[in-house]
Amino acid sequence: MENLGLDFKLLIAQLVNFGLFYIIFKKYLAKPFLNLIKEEEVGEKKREELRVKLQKQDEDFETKRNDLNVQISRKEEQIISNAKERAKSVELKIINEAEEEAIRIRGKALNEIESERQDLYKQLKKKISDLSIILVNKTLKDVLTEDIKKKITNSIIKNLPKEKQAYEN
Amino acid sequence: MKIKPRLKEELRKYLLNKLSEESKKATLISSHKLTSEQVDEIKLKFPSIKEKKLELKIDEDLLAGFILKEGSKITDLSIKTKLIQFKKTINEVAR
Repeated sequence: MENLGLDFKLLIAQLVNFGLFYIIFKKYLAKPFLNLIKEEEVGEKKREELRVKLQKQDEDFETKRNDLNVQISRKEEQIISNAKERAKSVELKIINEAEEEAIRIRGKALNEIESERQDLYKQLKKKISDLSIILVNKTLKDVLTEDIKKKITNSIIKNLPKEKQAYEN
Repeated sequence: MKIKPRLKEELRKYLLNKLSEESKKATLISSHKLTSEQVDEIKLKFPSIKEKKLELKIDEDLLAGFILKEGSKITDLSIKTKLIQFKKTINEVAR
């Protein structure tokens, strides 16, 4: 055996060393080590639970956030819709008022134009009549001879009533 | 302003005289010289001027006819006045 390179003494010593190591390990080191592993496992489990819990909270928050977003969107749409309706109503009101004002101004302008037209028409008529009388006057002055004047005066005198009453000035 | 009684009396007398003189005369205004026949006929139609002093005047603007003035009374029978009245009528109708 020695020729094969095996030393029994050394082998036995190693076995004894191993046995001693096993006993010491089991008695003093294995338990704390196992406890450490178990604690690690518990910690890992707690961490996992906490992670799940946090994930669930995250999901809840996400759901709430989405709900809130939807509510905000609805509210926004409602506000915009109300604002649009109100703007439309105000716009209609302004347009109606402007139209009424325009009709009033137009009516007033038409009345003024008509009034001015009537005035001008009256003035024109007056001018025409004045001019006609001036023309007649001028023509009569040119046409009436002494003889015709006498005849007219005679006619006036003859057509008078018997006793003409004068009027007081 | 107070007027003195003497001045007031003088003024009254003056106006009365003026009125008296005015009432004794009449004015006949015509567009041409009236013949004596025409004047007589006018006197016939207006007996109130028979006893009055008649003043004859000529105003060619009257065109034809005559105006008789007796104090404050006026009888206007001129063509000029007829034309003015005609113009007024036209203006009233044209309104």
